[in-house]
Amino acid sequence: MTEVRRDAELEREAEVITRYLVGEAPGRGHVVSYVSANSVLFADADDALTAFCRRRPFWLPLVDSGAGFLDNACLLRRKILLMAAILEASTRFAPHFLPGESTTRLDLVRVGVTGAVAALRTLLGVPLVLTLRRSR
Amino acid sequence: MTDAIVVGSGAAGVNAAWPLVERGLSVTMLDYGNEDTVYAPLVPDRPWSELRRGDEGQARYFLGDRFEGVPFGEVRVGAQLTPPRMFITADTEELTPVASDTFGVSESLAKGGLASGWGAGVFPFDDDDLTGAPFSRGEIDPHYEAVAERIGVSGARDDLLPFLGDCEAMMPPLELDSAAEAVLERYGSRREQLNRAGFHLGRTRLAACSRAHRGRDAHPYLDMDFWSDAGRSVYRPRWTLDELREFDNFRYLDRRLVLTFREDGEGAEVACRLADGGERETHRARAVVLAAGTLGTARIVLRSLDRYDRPLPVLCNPYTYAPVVNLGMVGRKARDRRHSLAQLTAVYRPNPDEPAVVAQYYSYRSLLTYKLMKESPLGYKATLSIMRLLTPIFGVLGMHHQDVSSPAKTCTLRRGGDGPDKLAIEYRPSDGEERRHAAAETAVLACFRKLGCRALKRIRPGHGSSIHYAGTLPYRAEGGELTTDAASRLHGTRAVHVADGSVFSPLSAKGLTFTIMANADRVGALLADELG
Repeated sequence: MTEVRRDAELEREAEVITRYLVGEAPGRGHVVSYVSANSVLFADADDALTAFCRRRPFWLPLVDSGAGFLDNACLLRRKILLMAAILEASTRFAPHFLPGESTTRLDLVRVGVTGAVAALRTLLGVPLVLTLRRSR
Repeated sequence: MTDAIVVGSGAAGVNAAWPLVERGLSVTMLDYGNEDTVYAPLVPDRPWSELRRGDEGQARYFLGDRFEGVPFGEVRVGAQLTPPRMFITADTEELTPVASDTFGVSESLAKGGLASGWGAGVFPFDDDDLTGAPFSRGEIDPHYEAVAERIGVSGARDDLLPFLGDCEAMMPPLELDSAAEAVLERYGSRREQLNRAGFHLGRTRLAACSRAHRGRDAHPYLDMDFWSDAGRSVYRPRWTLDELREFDNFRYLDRRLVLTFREDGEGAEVACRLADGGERETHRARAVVLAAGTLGTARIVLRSLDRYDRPLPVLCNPYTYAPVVNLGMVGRKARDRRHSLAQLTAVYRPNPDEPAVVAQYYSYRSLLTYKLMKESPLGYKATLSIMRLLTPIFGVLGMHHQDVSSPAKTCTLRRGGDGPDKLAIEYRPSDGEERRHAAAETAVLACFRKLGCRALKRIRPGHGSSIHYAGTLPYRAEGGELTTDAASRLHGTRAVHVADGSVFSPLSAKGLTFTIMANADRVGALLADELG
């Protein structure tokens, strides 16, 4: 694979993961950081789960959830975590990561609901991840 | 000839050097002396929350230029080190290698040693904690006082006073954050019941200034203590080193890795290798004080005495931490003004026949959210939402246990062949020890549950993770090879003294660093009398 094509794929990943995490497109600086970090940390590695999510971003929430249960430290999870770190350490996206001033009882209910939805996604994601791995 | 050579510039080295230098003796300190010159200048002295929203350059010091601040894989020793603190362990894998599949090691070749990233907890030992030491609390007390004044200690006279003792030099305590206040309030209403169960809670005594002291500022409450040393408020041995360098009779030589000592009729010769170029160099003195850290000192002693393949005992406080949700904070606003060090300390000792467990409560915020996300098995988007909602009530409890030596806890120096010698460490606590630790942790967590703190899980980062190494060259009045006498002199030598954690066995659950400093001050004072 040429370097240009690899960089284009990583740029696409950066965009897909950022939209997944914070619902917006990343800035150019975030994308450049992500591409550079991939070279340093992962030697530009790729795998079936990452390639699938790059092509079909709609499925990323399910694949991420399933992978978290089956293999928390897989390449896709590490890539998402890396993008989260890059976004968190930037003024533009810091507000998406900064905690509120307090946690209310309603927040605890929200945590419960979010956790339940996340668990459901995990249930759906596990067979999807297993299928993707077998099909490789 | 120099009066004394001190090996190492950490908590032990600078405090052993101080009484020698103060008494007018000539002292040379040999040190590798790594420093952070990259990140420290980048971190502005502004509150964490303000930096997060306003500093365009934050990615460099939060993540590192090579993304070294983004931790992948399992929880490991030193995982809390941030890019501006990573100089502390730099070069050690190459220059001081360790072989172990049972024990994680963090050593330091930094100026200021491991205490450059110390949590600053101050735990004076009582007579029970000093079992095995050739002095009582009464005898070490003047040295605790001297060191407390030197390093700046803040704290309260509260329920921990019977366990820590008083300290005249103590400054008022640092302000508590909102989460710790909530815990302490609940403790106030359940105090008698918890005390009866052997649980006592108070403010953490800290080596941090609550007012200006010796050219250092009062703590600025920026919540940046994991990233910077704003105002030099939190103690680092570098501050004492800077003071020492103002004396004409003190010489600091860095970029040197000390390898061996050799005694002769007049004193001792110390051999080291220059970091730049690799040439060997020797220095002579009437006495040598080894303060290279427990494992570093073990290497130097074993190599000097040609005791390769001879196992030494090694100790390290077993450590477990538990993320907790502090329900007392639900609905309460968390103040932005805070420090990042341990807020509260609990001592749990249900009866005098059992060793104490020491637990410390931290509020979690400034280490950033992505480091917590890593631990979650849920999708990261959901994890992020949950973490943001829970962070104001999120805390961490760290629990330390006592450690005692056994034939299953050893370190042995192996010849390195073409490379550096390797320290092989075996560390296998007995099943009985593991069971006692687990039971004590359950009891401590039950006490914190009564204070509104519910543990989400217990995490054991592995043996060695407390980074409190000790017990390799223990005090033995009766003598014996590879042990030390009451003056911390290595038995069988005339001029070689040990001033770091090597001499302490058993190892109390209380953090050892402050006692290392006080003992180093004692060792330095005794040596000053002798050389004087």
